[in-house]
Amino acid sequence: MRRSNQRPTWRSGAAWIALVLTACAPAAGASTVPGQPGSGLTASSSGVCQAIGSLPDAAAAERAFINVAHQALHGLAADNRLDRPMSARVLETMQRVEADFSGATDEPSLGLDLAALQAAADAALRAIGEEVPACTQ
Amino acid sequence: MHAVSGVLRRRLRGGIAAAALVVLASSSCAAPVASPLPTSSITGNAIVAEVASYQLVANQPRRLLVALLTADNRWVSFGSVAVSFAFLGDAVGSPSPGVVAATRAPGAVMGDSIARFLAIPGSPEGIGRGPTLTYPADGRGVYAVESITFPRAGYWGVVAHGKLADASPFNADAAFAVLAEPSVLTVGALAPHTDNPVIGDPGVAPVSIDSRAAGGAPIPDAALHATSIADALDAGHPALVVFSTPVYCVSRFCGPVTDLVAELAATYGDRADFIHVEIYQDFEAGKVNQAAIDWLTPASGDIREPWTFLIGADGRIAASWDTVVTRGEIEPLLQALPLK
Repeated sequence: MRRSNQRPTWRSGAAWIALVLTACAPAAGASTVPGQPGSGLTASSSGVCQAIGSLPDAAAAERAFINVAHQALHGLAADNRLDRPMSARVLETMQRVEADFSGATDEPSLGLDLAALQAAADAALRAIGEEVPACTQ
Repeated sequence: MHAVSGVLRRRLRGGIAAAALVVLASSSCAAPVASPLPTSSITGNAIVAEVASYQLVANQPRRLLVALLTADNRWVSFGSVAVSFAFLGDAVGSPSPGVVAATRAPGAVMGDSIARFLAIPGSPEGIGRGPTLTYPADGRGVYAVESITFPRAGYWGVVAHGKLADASPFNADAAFAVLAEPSVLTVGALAPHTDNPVIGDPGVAPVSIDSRAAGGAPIPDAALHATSIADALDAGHPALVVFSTPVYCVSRFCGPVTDLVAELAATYGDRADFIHVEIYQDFEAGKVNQAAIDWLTPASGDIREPWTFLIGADGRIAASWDTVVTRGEIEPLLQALPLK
Protein backbone atom coordinates (compact mmCIF):
# COMPACT_ATOMS: atom_id res chain seq x y z
CA MET A 1 0.00 0.00 0.00
CA ARG A 2 1.39 3.36 -0.97
CA ARG A 3 0.45 6.61 0.63
CA SER A 4 1.98 9.75 -0.65
CA ASN A 5 1.27 12.24 2.07
CA GLN A 6 1.35 10.34 5.24
CA ARG A 7 2.32 11.64 8.59
CA PRO A 8 2.94 8.76 10.92
CA THR A 9 1.31 8.89 14.29
CA TRP A 10 4.77 8.72 15.76
CA ARG A 11 3.79 10.15 19.07
CA SER A 12 1.28 7.55 20.18
CA GLY A 13 3.68 4.91 21.46
CA ALA A 14 5.96 7.36 23.16
CA ALA A 15 3.02 9.21 24.61
CA TRP A 16 1.91 5.97 26.15
CA ILE A 17 5.28 5.31 27.65
CA ALA A 18 5.57 8.83 28.94
CA LEU A 19 2.03 8.73 30.27
CA VAL A 20 2.49 5.52 32.17
CA LEU A 21 5.81 6.49 33.61
CA THR A 22 4.99 10.05 34.47
CA ALA A 23 1.69 9.03 35.94
CA CYS A 24 3.54 6.82 38.37
CA ALA A 25 6.46 9.14 39.01
CA PRO A 26 6.87 11.27 42.10
CA ALA A 27 5.47 14.78 41.96
CA ALA A 28 7.20 17.20 39.66
CA GLY A 29 9.92 19.14 41.33
CA ALA A 30 10.87 16.36 43.69
CA SER A 31 14.54 16.34 44.50
CA THR A 32 16.80 14.05 42.57
CA VAL A 33 19.93 12.18 43.49
CA PRO A 34 22.88 12.86 41.22
CA GLY A 35 23.13 10.15 38.62
CA GLN A 36 19.74 8.74 39.48
CA PRO A 37 16.39 9.40 37.92
CA GLY A 38 14.45 12.58 38.37
CA SER A 39 10.76 13.02 37.96
CA GLY A 40 8.55 13.35 34.92
CA LEU A 41 9.33 15.66 32.09
CA THR A 42 11.27 18.09 34.26
CA ALA A 43 13.98 15.45 34.53
CA SER A 44 14.79 16.31 30.93
CA SER A 45 16.24 19.57 32.16
CA SER A 46 17.41 18.59 35.63
CA GLY A 47 19.18 15.54 34.25
CA VAL A 48 21.10 17.59 31.74
CA CYS A 49 21.87 20.05 34.52
CA GLN A 50 23.33 17.18 36.54
CA ALA A 51 25.38 16.11 33.56
CA ILE A 52 26.76 19.61 33.15
CA GLY A 53 27.59 19.71 36.83
CA SER A 54 29.50 16.46 36.51
CA LEU A 55 31.93 17.84 33.94
CA PRO A 56 34.80 17.49 33.38
CA ASP A 57 34.11 13.89 34.45
CA ALA A 58 32.57 12.72 31.17
CA ALA A 59 31.70 9.28 32.55
CA ALA A 60 29.72 10.80 35.41
CA ALA A 61 28.09 13.20 33.01
CA GLU A 62 27.06 10.32 30.75
CA ARG A 63 25.64 8.44 33.68
CA ALA A 64 23.52 11.41 34.72
CA PHE A 65 22.42 11.92 31.13
CA ILE A 66 21.40 8.29 30.60
CA ASN A 67 19.92 7.64 34.02
CA VAL A 68 18.04 10.88 34.50
CA ALA A 69 17.56 12.85 31.32
CA HIS A 70 17.37 10.45 28.41
CA GLN A 71 13.92 8.98 28.81
CA ALA A 72 12.44 12.27 29.93
CA LEU A 73 13.86 13.98 26.86
CA HIS A 74 12.19 11.42 24.62
CA GLY A 75 8.95 11.87 26.51
CA LEU A 76 9.23 15.62 26.21
CA ALA A 77 9.92 15.49 22.48
CA ALA A 78 6.93 13.20 21.98
CA ASP A 79 4.56 15.36 24.01
CA ASN A 80 1.50 16.19 21.93
CA ARG A 81 1.53 19.78 23.16
CA LEU A 82 4.86 20.45 21.50
CA ASP A 83 5.11 21.48 17.86
CA ARG A 84 7.35 19.51 15.53
CA PRO A 85 10.11 22.13 15.17
CA MET A 86 10.51 22.30 18.91
CA SER A 87 10.47 18.51 19.16
CA ALA A 88 13.13 18.47 16.47
CA ARG A 89 15.38 20.83 18.42
CA VAL A 90 15.21 18.62 21.50
CA LEU A 91 15.96 15.46 19.54
CA GLU A 92 18.71 16.98 17.42
CA THR A 93 20.56 18.47 20.36
CA MET A 94 20.14 15.21 22.27
CA GLN A 95 21.66 13.27 19.38
CA ARG A 96 24.69 15.54 19.34
CA VAL A 97 25.24 14.88 23.04
CA GLU A 98 24.90 11.14 22.46
CA ALA A 99 27.45 11.37 19.65
CA ASP A 100 29.82 13.18 22.02
CA PHE A 101 29.47 10.43 24.60
CA SER A 102 30.01 7.71 22.02
CA GLY A 103 33.17 9.40 20.80
CA ALA A 104 31.70 9.89 17.37
CA THR A 105 32.76 13.52 17.32
CA ASP A 106 36.36 14.66 17.38
CA GLU A 107 35.75 18.06 18.91
CA PRO A 108 35.61 18.54 22.67
CA SER A 109 32.11 19.86 22.28
CA LEU A 110 30.35 18.04 25.10
CA GLY A 111 29.93 21.06 27.35
CA LEU A 112 28.56 23.22 24.58
CA ASP A 113 26.27 20.49 23.35
CA LEU A 114 24.92 19.82 26.83
CA ALA A 115 24.22 23.51 27.24
CA ALA A 116 22.40 23.59 23.92
CA LEU A 117 20.39 20.55 24.95
CA GLN A 118 19.39 22.12 28.21
CA ALA A 119 18.30 25.28 26.41
CA ALA A 120 16.20 23.21 24.03
CA ALA A 121 14.66 21.22 26.87
CA ASP A 122 13.90 24.33 28.89
CA ALA A 123 12.27 25.99 25.88
CA ALA A 124 10.16 22.93 25.28
CA LEU A 125 9.11 22.70 28.91
CA ARG A 126 8.09 26.36 28.88
CA ALA A 127 6.17 25.85 25.66
CA ILE A 128 3.97 23.21 27.22
CA GLY A 129 3.54 25.03 30.51
CA GLU A 130 5.76 22.77 32.59
CA GLU A 131 7.95 24.04 35.35
CA VAL A 132 11.55 24.63 34.33
CA PRO A 133 13.78 23.49 37.18
CA ALA A 134 16.52 25.82 38.28
CA CYS A 135 20.01 24.84 37.32
CA THR A 136 22.88 26.39 39.20
CA GLN A 137 25.64 24.60 37.34
CA MET B 1 1.75 -25.83 28.43
CA HIS B 2 -0.20 -25.06 31.52
CA ALA B 3 -3.58 -23.50 31.82
CA VAL B 4 -3.66 -19.97 33.10
CA SER B 5 -5.68 -19.78 36.25
CA GLY B 6 -8.88 -17.85 36.62
CA VAL B 7 -7.11 -15.69 39.17
CA LEU B 8 -4.50 -14.81 36.58
CA ARG B 9 -7.09 -13.88 34.04
CA ARG B 10 -8.94 -11.77 36.56
CA ARG B 11 -5.67 -10.03 37.41
CA LEU B 12 -4.99 -9.36 33.77
CA ARG B 13 -8.42 -7.95 33.22
CA GLY B 14 -8.20 -5.85 36.34
CA GLY B 15 -4.87 -4.43 35.30
CA ILE B 16 -6.06 -3.76 31.80
CA ALA B 17 -9.18 -2.08 33.09
CA ALA B 18 -6.97 0.13 35.24
CA ALA B 19 -4.87 0.96 32.23
CA ALA B 20 -8.01 1.80 30.33
CA LEU B 21 -8.99 4.24 33.04
CA VAL B 22 -5.67 5.96 32.60
CA VAL B 23 -6.39 6.21 28.90
CA LEU B 24 -9.79 7.68 29.45
CA ALA B 25 -8.41 10.17 31.94
CA SER B 26 -5.76 11.40 29.58
CA SER B 27 -6.75 13.66 26.76
CA SER B 28 -3.35 13.16 25.15
CA CYS B 29 -4.22 9.53 24.60
CA ALA B 30 -7.80 10.09 23.59
CA ALA B 31 -7.22 9.24 19.95
CA PRO B 32 -7.53 5.62 18.95
CA VAL B 33 -4.20 3.88 19.25
CA ALA B 34 -3.02 1.67 16.44
CA SER B 35 -2.19 -1.91 17.21
CA PRO B 36 -0.23 -3.33 18.83
CA LEU B 37 -1.81 -1.56 21.73
CA PRO B 38 0.58 -1.11 24.60
CA THR B 39 -1.07 -0.93 27.97
CA SER B 40 0.37 -1.24 31.39
CA SER B 41 -0.59 -1.29 35.00
CA ILE B 42 1.24 -1.07 38.25
CA THR B 43 1.42 -4.15 40.41
CA GLY B 44 3.56 -5.48 43.22
CA ASN B 45 6.77 -3.54 43.44
CA ALA B 46 5.72 -1.07 40.78
CA ILE B 47 7.20 -2.80 37.78
CA VAL B 48 5.42 -1.89 34.56
CA ALA B 49 5.19 -4.23 31.59
CA GLU B 50 5.07 -2.95 28.04
CA VAL B 51 4.80 -5.16 24.99
CA ALA B 52 7.47 -3.82 22.66
CA SER B 53 6.63 -5.94 19.62
CA TYR B 54 5.17 -3.95 16.78
CA GLN B 55 3.49 -6.71 14.87
CA LEU B 56 2.01 -9.94 16.16
CA VAL B 57 -0.18 -11.87 13.76
CA ALA B 58 -2.53 -14.75 14.49
CA ASN B 59 -1.25 -18.19 13.51
CA GLN B 60 2.17 -16.87 12.56
CA PRO B 61 5.17 -17.64 14.75
CA ARG B 62 6.77 -14.41 15.87
CA ARG B 63 9.12 -13.07 18.48
CA LEU B 64 7.38 -11.33 21.37
CA LEU B 65 9.17 -8.61 23.31
CA VAL B 66 8.24 -7.35 26.74
CA ALA B 67 9.97 -4.47 28.50
CA LEU B 68 9.82 -4.31 32.28
CA LEU B 69 10.27 -0.87 33.75
CA THR B 70 9.71 0.98 36.98
CA ALA B 71 8.23 4.38 37.52
CA ASP B 72 11.61 5.76 38.55
CA ASN B 73 13.19 4.88 35.21
CA ARG B 74 14.82 1.61 36.15
CA TRP B 75 14.66 -1.48 33.99
CA VAL B 76 14.43 -5.11 34.90
CA SER B 77 17.49 -6.49 33.17
CA PHE B 78 19.31 -9.80 32.69
CA GLY B 79 18.41 -13.44 33.07
CA SER B 80 14.98 -14.68 32.16
CA VAL B 81 11.43 -14.29 33.39
CA ALA B 82 8.32 -16.41 33.17
CA VAL B 83 5.48 -15.14 31.03
CA SER B 84 1.87 -16.28 30.83
CA PHE B 85 -0.70 -15.35 28.23
CA ALA B 86 -4.46 -15.20 28.12
CA PHE B 87 -6.89 -14.25 25.41
CA LEU B 88 -9.00 -11.29 26.44
CA GLY B 89 -11.44 -10.81 23.61
CA ASP B 90 -12.09 -9.89 20.03
CA ALA B 91 -13.28 -6.37 20.67
CA VAL B 92 -14.57 -5.91 17.17
CA GLY B 93 -15.04 -2.20 16.77
CA SER B 94 -13.76 -1.51 20.22
CA PRO B 95 -11.51 1.51 20.60
CA SER B 96 -9.87 0.52 23.82
CA PRO B 97 -8.84 -2.57 25.74
CA GLY B 98 -10.93 -1.42 28.64
CA VAL B 99 -13.98 -2.37 26.63
CA VAL B 100 -12.42 -5.72 25.99
CA ALA B 101 -11.80 -6.28 29.65
CA ALA B 102 -15.38 -5.42 30.41
CA THR B 103 -16.69 -8.07 28.04
CA ARG B 104 -15.06 -10.83 30.10
CA ALA B 105 -14.99 -12.86 26.94
CA PRO B 106 -13.85 -16.41 27.45
CA GLY B 107 -11.44 -17.75 24.91
CA ALA B 108 -8.12 -19.28 24.20
CA VAL B 109 -5.71 -19.52 27.06
CA MET B 110 -2.03 -20.17 26.62
CA GLY B 111 0.28 -21.33 29.33
CA ASP B 112 3.66 -20.29 30.57
CA SER B 113 6.73 -19.54 28.51
CA ILE B 114 10.17 -18.28 29.30
CA ALA B 115 11.36 -14.93 28.04
CA ARG B 116 15.06 -14.26 28.05
CA PHE B 117 16.79 -10.92 28.27
CA LEU B 118 17.95 -9.18 25.11
CA ALA B 119 20.21 -6.25 25.84
CA ILE B 120 19.87 -3.17 23.70
CA PRO B 121 23.00 -3.21 21.54
CA GLY B 122 25.77 -1.50 23.42
CA SER B 123 24.23 -2.13 26.84
CA PRO B 124 25.57 -4.65 29.36
CA GLU B 125 24.29 -8.17 28.72
CA GLY B 126 24.65 -9.30 32.33
CA ILE B 127 25.64 -12.81 31.39
CA GLY B 128 25.15 -15.14 34.32
CA ARG B 129 23.01 -12.72 36.26
CA GLY B 130 19.36 -13.08 37.11
CA PRO B 131 16.68 -10.41 36.74
CA THR B 132 17.94 -7.24 38.37
CA LEU B 133 16.63 -3.73 38.68
CA THR B 134 19.13 -1.53 36.88
CA TYR B 135 19.47 2.10 36.09
CA PRO B 136 19.69 2.62 32.34
CA ALA B 137 23.44 3.08 32.36
CA ASP B 138 23.84 -0.35 33.94
CA GLY B 139 21.37 -2.35 31.89
CA ARG B 140 18.66 -1.80 29.33
CA GLY B 141 16.79 -4.31 27.27
CA VAL B 142 13.69 -6.37 26.73
CA TYR B 143 12.60 -9.90 27.46
CA ALA B 144 11.95 -12.03 24.40
CA VAL B 145 9.93 -15.14 23.75
CA GLU B 146 11.81 -16.27 20.68
CA SER B 147 8.88 -17.75 18.82
CA ILE B 148 5.28 -17.79 19.86
CA THR B 149 2.13 -18.37 17.85
CA PHE B 150 -1.14 -16.86 18.95
CA PRO B 151 -4.07 -18.94 17.75
CA ARG B 152 -6.46 -16.08 17.18
CA ALA B 153 -6.57 -12.38 16.56
CA GLY B 154 -7.78 -9.99 19.21
CA TYR B 155 -6.58 -8.59 22.47
CA TRP B 156 -4.29 -10.68 24.59
CA GLY B 157 -2.80 -10.21 28.00
CA VAL B 158 0.62 -11.14 29.26
CA VAL B 159 1.85 -11.47 32.81
CA ALA B 160 5.60 -11.49 33.40
CA HIS B 161 6.73 -12.77 36.74
CA GLY B 162 9.81 -13.90 38.55
CA LYS B 163 12.19 -12.98 41.33
CA LEU B 164 14.68 -10.18 41.39
CA ALA B 165 18.27 -10.59 42.50
CA ASP B 166 17.29 -9.72 46.07
CA ALA B 167 14.74 -12.57 45.94
CA SER B 168 11.77 -10.24 45.97
CA PRO B 169 9.00 -11.48 43.69
CA PHE B 170 7.61 -9.30 40.96
CA ASN B 171 4.89 -9.45 38.40
CA ALA B 172 3.60 -7.07 35.79
CA ASP B 173 0.94 -7.35 33.14
CA ALA B 174 0.11 -5.71 29.86
CA ALA B 175 -2.38 -6.07 27.07
CA PHE B 176 -1.59 -6.13 23.41
CA ALA B 177 -3.23 -6.73 20.07
CA VAL B 178 -2.73 -9.72 17.80
CA LEU B 179 -3.63 -8.87 14.22
CA ALA B 180 -5.64 -11.03 11.86
CA GLU B 181 -3.38 -10.04 8.98
CA PRO B 182 0.10 -8.55 8.92
CA SER B 183 0.39 -4.85 8.29
CA VAL B 184 4.14 -4.87 7.66
CA LEU B 185 5.90 -7.28 5.30
CA THR B 186 6.54 -10.69 6.75
CA VAL B 187 9.02 -13.49 6.15
CA GLY B 188 8.60 -15.03 2.72
CA ALA B 189 7.21 -11.91 1.07
CA LEU B 190 8.89 -10.45 -1.97
CA ALA B 191 10.93 -7.42 -1.01
CA PRO B 192 9.65 -4.21 -2.60
CA HIS B 193 11.97 -2.92 -5.33
CA THR B 194 12.63 0.28 -3.44
CA ASP B 195 14.99 2.89 -4.82
CA ASN B 196 15.88 4.56 -1.54
CA PRO B 197 18.21 7.57 -1.90
CA VAL B 198 21.92 6.98 -1.39
CA ILE B 199 24.98 9.17 -1.10
CA GLY B 200 25.57 11.06 -4.32
CA ASP B 201 22.01 11.05 -5.56
CA PRO B 202 21.36 14.50 -7.03
CA GLY B 203 18.84 16.76 -5.39
CA VAL B 204 18.54 14.71 -2.22
CA ALA B 205 19.06 16.43 1.11
CA PRO B 206 21.64 14.58 3.21
CA VAL B 207 19.33 14.67 6.22
CA SER B 208 16.77 12.64 4.30
CA ILE B 209 19.41 9.94 3.79
CA ASP B 210 20.39 9.95 7.45
CA SER B 211 18.88 12.24 10.05
CA ARG B 212 22.29 12.56 11.70
CA ALA B 213 23.45 14.58 8.69
CA ALA B 214 21.72 17.74 9.89
CA GLY B 215 23.35 21.15 9.86
CA GLY B 216 25.91 20.34 7.23
CA ALA B 217 27.30 17.31 9.04
CA PRO B 218 28.56 14.53 6.76
CA ILE B 219 26.36 11.50 6.25
CA PRO B 220 27.62 8.94 8.77
CA ASP B 221 28.05 5.23 8.13
CA ALA B 222 28.78 5.69 4.43
CA ALA B 223 28.77 1.93 3.89
CA LEU B 224 25.07 1.85 4.81
CA HIS B 225 24.20 4.56 2.30
CA ALA B 226 26.00 3.37 -0.82
CA THR B 227 23.48 0.85 -2.13
CA SER B 228 19.74 1.01 -2.59
CA ILE B 229 17.43 -1.89 -1.93
CA ALA B 230 16.67 -1.97 -5.65
CA ASP B 231 20.41 -2.18 -6.42
CA ALA B 232 20.81 -5.14 -4.08
CA LEU B 233 17.80 -6.93 -5.53
CA ASP B 234 18.97 -6.33 -9.09
CA ALA B 235 22.39 -7.72 -8.22
CA GLY B 236 20.91 -10.75 -6.51
CA HIS B 237 22.69 -9.88 -3.29
CA PRO B 238 21.35 -10.65 0.14
CA ALA B 239 20.79 -7.44 2.06
CA LEU B 240 20.40 -6.44 5.66
CA VAL B 241 18.20 -3.36 5.73
CA VAL B 242 17.50 -1.25 8.81
CA PHE B 243 14.69 1.29 8.75
CA SER B 244 15.38 3.79 11.48
CA THR B 245 15.64 7.45 12.27
CA PRO B 246 18.61 7.82 14.59
CA VAL B 247 17.76 11.38 15.56
CA TYR B 248 13.98 11.43 15.60
CA CYS B 249 13.39 7.98 17.02
CA VAL B 250 10.48 7.43 19.36
CA SER B 251 11.41 3.97 20.56
CA ARG B 252 14.90 4.96 21.72
CA PHE B 253 16.27 1.88 19.98
CA CYS B 254 17.07 3.32 16.53
CA GLY B 255 20.57 4.53 17.28
CA PRO B 256 21.83 1.33 18.90
CA VAL B 257 20.28 -0.87 16.22
CA THR B 258 21.67 1.27 13.40
CA ASP B 259 25.11 1.16 15.03
CA LEU B 260 24.83 -2.62 15.25
CA VAL B 261 24.06 -2.91 11.54
CA ALA B 262 27.05 -0.68 10.78
CA GLU B 263 29.26 -2.96 12.85
CA LEU B 264 27.98 -6.02 11.03
CA ALA B 265 28.59 -4.33 7.69
CA ALA B 266 32.24 -3.98 8.55
CA THR B 267 32.52 -7.71 9.13
CA TYR B 268 30.12 -9.21 6.62
CA GLY B 269 30.19 -6.75 3.76
CA ASP B 270 31.51 -9.50 1.52
CA ARG B 271 28.39 -11.59 2.08
CA ALA B 272 25.55 -9.10 1.88
CA ASP B 273 24.72 -5.48 1.16
CA PHE B 274 23.99 -3.37 4.22
CA ILE B 275 21.50 -0.55 3.95
CA HIS B 276 20.11 2.08 6.28
CA VAL B 277 16.86 3.72 5.25
CA GLU B 278 16.04 6.96 7.03
CA ILE B 279 12.39 7.26 8.03
CA TYR B 280 11.94 10.98 7.51
CA GLN B 281 12.47 13.05 4.43
CA ASP B 282 11.63 16.12 6.50
CA PHE B 283 10.81 15.56 10.13
CA GLU B 284 9.57 19.06 10.87
CA ALA B 285 7.16 18.88 7.97
CA GLY B 286 6.13 15.38 8.96
CA LYS B 287 7.16 14.08 5.56
CA VAL B 288 8.19 10.43 5.45
CA ASN B 289 10.59 8.94 2.91
CA GLN B 290 8.80 6.93 0.26
CA ALA B 291 11.01 3.94 1.04
CA ALA B 292 9.73 3.85 4.59
CA ILE B 293 6.17 4.17 3.33
CA ASP B 294 6.73 1.29 0.91
CA TRP B 295 7.93 -1.01 3.63
CA LEU B 296 6.47 0.03 6.95
CA THR B 297 3.16 1.77 6.51
CA PRO B 298 0.30 -0.31 7.82
CA ALA B 299 -3.32 0.46 7.15
CA SER B 300 -3.39 2.57 10.30
CA GLY B 301 -0.67 4.83 8.93
CA ASP B 302 1.27 4.37 12.13
CA ILE B 303 4.95 3.89 11.33
CA ARG B 304 7.05 2.48 14.12
CA GLU B 305 10.77 2.13 14.12
CA PRO B 306 13.25 0.55 13.99
CA TRP B 307 12.60 -2.44 11.75
CA THR B 308 15.38 -4.64 10.42
CA PHE B 309 14.96 -7.01 7.46
CA LEU B 310 17.24 -9.64 5.99
CA ILE B 311 16.52 -10.06 2.29
CA GLY B 312 17.71 -13.29 0.71
CA ALA B 313 19.42 -13.61 -2.64
CA ASP B 314 16.07 -14.74 -3.99
CA GLY B 315 14.60 -11.32 -3.24
CA ARG B 316 12.35 -12.55 -0.48
CA ILE B 317 12.38 -11.49 3.14
CA ALA B 318 14.31 -14.14 5.03
CA ALA B 319 13.97 -12.65 8.50
CA SER B 320 12.67 -9.53 10.16
CA TRP B 321 12.97 -7.96 13.58
CA ASP B 322 10.97 -5.15 15.09
CA THR B 323 12.28 -2.91 17.84
CA VAL B 324 15.36 -4.47 19.39
CA VAL B 325 17.58 -6.85 17.46
CA THR B 326 20.86 -8.21 18.71
CA ARG B 327 24.09 -9.37 17.15
CA GLY B 328 23.32 -12.87 18.39
CA GLU B 329 20.13 -12.95 16.37
CA ILE B 330 21.54 -11.62 13.10
CA GLU B 331 25.09 -12.89 12.98
CA PRO B 332 24.39 -16.61 12.49
CA LEU B 333 22.23 -15.79 9.48
CA LEU B 334 24.98 -13.66 7.95
CA GLN B 335 27.60 -16.31 8.64
CA ALA B 336 25.49 -18.82 6.73
CA LEU B 337 25.53 -16.70 3.59
CA PRO B 338 28.02 -17.48 0.83
CA LEU B 339 30.47 -14.83 -0.30
CA LYS B 340 29.01 -12.43 -2.85
